[in-house]
Amino acid sequence: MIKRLPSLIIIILILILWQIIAFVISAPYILPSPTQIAFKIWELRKTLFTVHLPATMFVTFTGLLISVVLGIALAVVMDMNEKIANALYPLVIASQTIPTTAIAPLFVLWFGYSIWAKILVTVLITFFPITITMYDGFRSVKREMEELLITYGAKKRDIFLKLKVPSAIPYFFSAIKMAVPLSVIGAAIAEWLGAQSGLGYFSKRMMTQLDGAGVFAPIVLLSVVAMLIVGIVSILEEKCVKWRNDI
Amino acid sequence: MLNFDNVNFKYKGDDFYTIRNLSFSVLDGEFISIIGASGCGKSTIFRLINSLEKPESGSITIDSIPIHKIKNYSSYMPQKDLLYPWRTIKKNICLPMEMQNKTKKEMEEQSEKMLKEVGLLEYKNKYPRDLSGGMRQRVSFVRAILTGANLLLLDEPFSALDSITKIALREWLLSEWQKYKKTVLFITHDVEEAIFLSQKVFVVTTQPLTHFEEYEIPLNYPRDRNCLNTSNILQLKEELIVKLRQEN
Ligand SMILES: Nc1ncnc2c1ncn2[C@@H]1O[C@H](COP(=O)(O)OP(=O)(O)O)[C@@H](O)[C@H]1O
Ligand SMILES: [Mg+2]
Repeated sequence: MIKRLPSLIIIILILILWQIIAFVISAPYILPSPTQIAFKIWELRKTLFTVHLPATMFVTFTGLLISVVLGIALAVVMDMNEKIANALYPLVIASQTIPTTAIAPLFVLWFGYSIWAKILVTVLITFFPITITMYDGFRSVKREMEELLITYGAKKRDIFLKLKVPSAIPYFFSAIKMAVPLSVIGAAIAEWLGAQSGLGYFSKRMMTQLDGAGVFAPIVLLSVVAMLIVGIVSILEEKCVKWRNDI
Repeated sequence: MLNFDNVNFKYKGDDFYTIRNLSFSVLDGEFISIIGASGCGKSTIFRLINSLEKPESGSITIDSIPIHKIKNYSSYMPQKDLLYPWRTIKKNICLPMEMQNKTKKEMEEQSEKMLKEVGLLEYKNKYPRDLSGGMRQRVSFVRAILTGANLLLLDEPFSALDSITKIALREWLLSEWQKYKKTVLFITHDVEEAIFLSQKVFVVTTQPLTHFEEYEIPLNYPRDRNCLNTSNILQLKEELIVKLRQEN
C-alpha cells in the first residue's frame, strides 16, 4: 500500500486539476467535472449496472474466452510443428500492425448489429496477442531442462505436460492481463458502431443528446471495471506463480 | 562396465571432429574424474552416454550391450541444479520416477526415504527457491540417484558453489557413493577436487579428444581433506597442473 501511495497522490492531483479546469471552462457538454461524472453514474446506476454493463461484459468475456481457447490451441500447434510456426509467426506478428479497430465497421457490415459482430471484433483484437504470448511461453522452456527430462526417458507428451505447460503459466497471466483491456476496447467500439445495449452504445446515445457527463460515465465505468479485472488477475497470478522469477 | 570402442563424433554443422577414435572403459563401482580444458569435449562424452547425441561410428556399450538397446542405465546431474521452480522438493525428486510410471505410493516412499537419508526431509514441501545452492545440489543428486541408474554422470556439479560448501559437498558425495555403490563419472576442472574424490583421473590433453591419460590416485577411502597434503599427492597434483597447462 505504501508503495502505491505516490501513484495514488498523483491520481488525486489529476482529479483535482480536472475539477478545477472543468469549473473554469464551465462547459459540461465538452468537459464534465469528475464530480459531475460521479453524480451521473449514481443517477443512472440502474440502467448502467443492470443493462449496459452486463451487456458489455458478456461481449468482453465471451470474446476473451474464444480468443484464449483458440489462441492456446494455435500456440500449441505452432509449438509442435516448426513448419506451421515458421509459416504463421511472421503473419501473426504482421497482423499486429493492422489497426483492427479500423476494420471493426466491416464486421458490422457483414454481421449486422448481432452480438456476434461485437464478439468477433473483440476476438480479432485479442486473438493474436494471446497466441504470440502463449507461443513464446512454450518456447521459453530452457533447453537444458528439456534435455534433462529426456534423459529420464520423457516422451513428447511428458515434455509438454510437465515442462512446457508449467513454464507457460506466467505467460498465460501476462496474456490475460494484456487482453482484458483490449477486449473491453473491442466490445465498446463494436457497441459504438451499432448496438441496442452496452456501455459503448450508451455513451454514443448520450453524445447525440449533448450530455457530456453521460458520455463520460460509461467510459469511466469501463475503465474502472477493466482495471478491477486486471487487478484480480494479478492477485491470482501472485498466488499461482510465486516462482516466476526463479527460473 | 561402460565401454567406448573407437567412438567418433562431430556436432551437426561442424566440419571437425569433437571426439575421434576414442576408446576407454569404466568398471562397475569406480569413481573416475575427467579433467581437461574447457571446450575439449568432456560434456560431449556425457551427451553420448545418455544418448542426447549419437556417435557417427564406433560403439558405446554397457556390460557389452549397445546403449540404444537398454534404458535407464545412466543418470545425469548438471552443473546447474535445474530443479523445477514450480515443484516442491519432493515433487522434483519424483520426476524421474514419474517417467518410469511408478505408482504414487512407491514414489512417496522412495522420495521420503531418500530425503530422510540426506537430512532434507523437513524441506520436502519447500520450493527450490527456499534452499541454498549447496542444498539444491544435494537435492539434484538425490534426484539423479532416484532414476535407479547405476552409472552417475556428474558434470561439474559443485563448480558454481562457494569453496566452503564445495568442501563439505565433496565429503558428502564420497560417503553417498560408498553407500549406494554407484559408478561415478565426474567432470571437473579442479585438479584438487579430482584427486580428492576419485580412484582414477582421466586427463584430456588432445583436441579432438582421442584418448585419456589415466592417473591412479594412491589413496584409500574413507578420505578427508588432510589426505591431500602428503608429498606424493602434492607431487601428483603438480604433475597434473603442468599437464593441463601444456595444452593451453
Ligand atoms: N550443441 C552443440 N553444437 C555444436 N557444437 C557444440 C555443441 N555443444 C558443444 N559444442 C562444442 O563442442 C566442443 C566441446 O564441448 P563440450 O563437450 O561442452 O566441452 P567441455 O564440457 O569439455 O567444456 C566445444 O568446442 C563446444 O563449443
Ligand atoms: Mg562441459
